Amino acid sequence: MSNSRWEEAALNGDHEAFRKLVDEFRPLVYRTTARFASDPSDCDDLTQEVFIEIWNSKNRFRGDSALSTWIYRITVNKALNYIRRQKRGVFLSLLTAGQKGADPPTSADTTANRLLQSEGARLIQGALSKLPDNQRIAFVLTQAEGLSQRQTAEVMALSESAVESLIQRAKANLRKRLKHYYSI
Amino acid sequence: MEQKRFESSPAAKPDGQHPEKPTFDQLIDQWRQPIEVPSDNHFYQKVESKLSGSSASKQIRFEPVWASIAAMLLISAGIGLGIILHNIYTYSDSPAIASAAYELDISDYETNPYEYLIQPDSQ
Repeated sequence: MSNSRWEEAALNGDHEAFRKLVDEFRPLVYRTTARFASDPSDCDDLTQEVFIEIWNSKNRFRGDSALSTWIYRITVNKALNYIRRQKRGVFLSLLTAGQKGADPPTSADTTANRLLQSEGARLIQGALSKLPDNQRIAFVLTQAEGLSQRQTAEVMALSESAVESLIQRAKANLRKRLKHYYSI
Repeated sequence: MEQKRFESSPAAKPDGQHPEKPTFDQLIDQWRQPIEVPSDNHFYQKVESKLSGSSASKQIRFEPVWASIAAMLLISAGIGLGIILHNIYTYSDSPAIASAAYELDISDYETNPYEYLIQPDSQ
């Protein structure tokens, strides 16, 4: 069965084809969520949530873009929801525990930090978590996932020039935040 | 703290000197290294079990939704009733309203300014 055939079958509700889709796209989804999630078990849950969302909204895929673009979009949305839930959780824990409450997750806690081997990579990951969501997404998709600006623009529903601007700003912000850690 | 960790990394030189700092692009390259995806032979089963449970959970989720809607309607009705009762008591107690009502009492011919219009021949 060719790629488009089983993808179509999966989106038409064929369980066997959907299983193939899950196997095929799990690495893509996991890698992307790992750049955002703060815990490896959350990362696994997020990946599952993405595929559940794909199944539940399979009728909404119109085929205007590549399937991978649509999956990236769902993954990024889930990741953003996750970050917002995390922020709310930290805020609530601070409210209930007062100033002595649990520390918010730091850059050192992120999944990617545990999965990334080098110190430099961890520094970038930590600084990335402080960037605005749009800049972070554009940077991760282009620099880590290797998507073109055009593909990233499709995923983020923005123009290519807007994506280019987001990447430039992300890089400028990273340079500013990490100025003590690299040589010019 | 991050700087200390960076300086005390195993890459530090044995003579105690700080390791040379990488360039910004080198940092990006290090971060860009692919993340290893752990193998999980039961991943699809996990998704499938959640999929089969999701239709049931959707039905369960309806109850709190209806309960919240009912609660909101009750609160709105209570507020509306409160406003109506407040207006009734406020306006009926108002001296201005009472005096206006007195002035418009058409049974009192002496104070009715329109009396001459009703009986034009009496003049």
